[in-house]
Amino acid sequence: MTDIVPTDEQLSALESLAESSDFESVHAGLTDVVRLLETSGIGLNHSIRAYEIGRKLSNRCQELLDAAELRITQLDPDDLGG
Amino acid sequence: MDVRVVTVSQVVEYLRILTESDSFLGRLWVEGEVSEVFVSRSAHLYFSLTDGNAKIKGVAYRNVAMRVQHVLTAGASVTVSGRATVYAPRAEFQIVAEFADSSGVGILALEYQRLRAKLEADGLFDPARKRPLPEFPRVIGVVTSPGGAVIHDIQTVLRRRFPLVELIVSPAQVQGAGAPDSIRRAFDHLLEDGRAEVIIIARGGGSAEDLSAFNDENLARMAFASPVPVVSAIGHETDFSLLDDVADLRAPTPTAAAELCTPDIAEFSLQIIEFEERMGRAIDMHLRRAQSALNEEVQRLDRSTPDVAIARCRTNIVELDRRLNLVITARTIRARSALDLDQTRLHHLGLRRFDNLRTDLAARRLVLGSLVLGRVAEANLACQNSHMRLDNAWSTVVASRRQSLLFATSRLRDLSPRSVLHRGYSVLLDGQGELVASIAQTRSGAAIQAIVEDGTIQGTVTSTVPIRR
Repeated sequence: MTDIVPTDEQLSALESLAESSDFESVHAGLTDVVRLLETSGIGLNHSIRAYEIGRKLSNRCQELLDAAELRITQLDPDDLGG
Repeated sequence: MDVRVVTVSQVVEYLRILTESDSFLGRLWVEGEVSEVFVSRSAHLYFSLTDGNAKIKGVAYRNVAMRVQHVLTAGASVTVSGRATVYAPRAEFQIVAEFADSSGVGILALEYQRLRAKLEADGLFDPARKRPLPEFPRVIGVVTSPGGAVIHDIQTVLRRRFPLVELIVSPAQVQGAGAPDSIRRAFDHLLEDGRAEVIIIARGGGSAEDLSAFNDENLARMAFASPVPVVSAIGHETDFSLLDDVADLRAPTPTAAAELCTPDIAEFSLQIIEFEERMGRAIDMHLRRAQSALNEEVQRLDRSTPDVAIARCRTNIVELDRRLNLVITARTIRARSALDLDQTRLHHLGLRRFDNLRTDLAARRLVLGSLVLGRVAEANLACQNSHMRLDNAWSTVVASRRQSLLFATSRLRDLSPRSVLHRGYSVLLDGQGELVASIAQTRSGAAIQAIVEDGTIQGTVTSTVPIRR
């Protein structure tokens, strides 16, 4: 989507990632928005919208990084000592 | 009493089955000195092994022989690993070698080398099979001892480096006799759980015997078959295990394994800052571009005053005039070339007519020629007539002139002195023979002579008398 003008649906899909808790998805969305903004063919309206979405996504990325805390699960050690 | 008679073959077959089903004989490590080495045409290697008191026959089939040929030389002290069988035709007990090495090397090392060679031959170490690790692992599974320093180190690295991940620990006994089974079960638990996107199998440093659980063949095959990439982190950097060879990635230490499996969150923070800067630059660029587009529109509006419109109309008229001229010129040229074409055609037509005329003329000339010939013939005829007439006329003239001449001749004859002399006249000459016509021409006493018709008369003048008138 780096070389074509985005549809409103695509922009909305990117915007919805700002609610996601999956860092990888938000990061991928942010990468897409940056590339999109750096495409010269995109019009002013779309670029302003993309910029707003990009800011939301970068904020979300930062939030997720700040809030990240290693979760640890241990499976049953049913055979230890066996 | 139940007596049963069997054949020799049945006895040998019984012995073979008995030998091959025995667990001890199925995995033998035999030490001895090599003798009676013989390589068959099909490249199998036959040998004997003896300790001085007893002797066992042995065979290394072609694929194994290639690897052990340099070890199994006559007189060498070796350790041979293999399974026992009975060669039926001679009821001969023999060991089918799978591996051999010089004696003095530890049995564990020998077993390691034997197994390594076998797994390598089965393609378990193929570099092409190694899978990449996930870029953003959400869940990392670890098989290790639950209470040791290893899991602590891994947690520390993950907290610092990528706390977004979830760590699933599957505890295992990593040393002792039950270690291989325990490690395999813990591995299996993780695979059953199914959430882990990459699995680290880790153990801290230890002796070769401590680490030998990770040389387990079944563990190696399990890691090979794992649907999830496996990272091995056994002991220290200098330790090597079969699991290291099979794993998708070998980490030198458990800490390194945790680092190799995760991206660094600090890099993401920097990257997000970089993204924000790039977005700022990009939106600036779009705004500047929109601004310059707007400026251009304003300028175009300024350019749209009536003066400009009139000037543009004027330019248009000039342009139309130019195009009109072009059209006219083009048409003229076209008309001229059409005319040229017509002229050419006309010329060709004229030439054709000229040819006709020439033919006509030639025909006429022919006719004229014959006409002229006719006339010439006529003229010739006329000429001949004229000649004849002229000849006639000339004859007449000649006859007439001849008549006149006769007449003149007769008159001339009449007038001749001779005729005069005939009539009685004479001619007087002086002494010198000169004619004397006057008295003045003579004198008295001068000799004279008179010529008459029939001769001369000589005399002398006596006197002269003039005539009176």
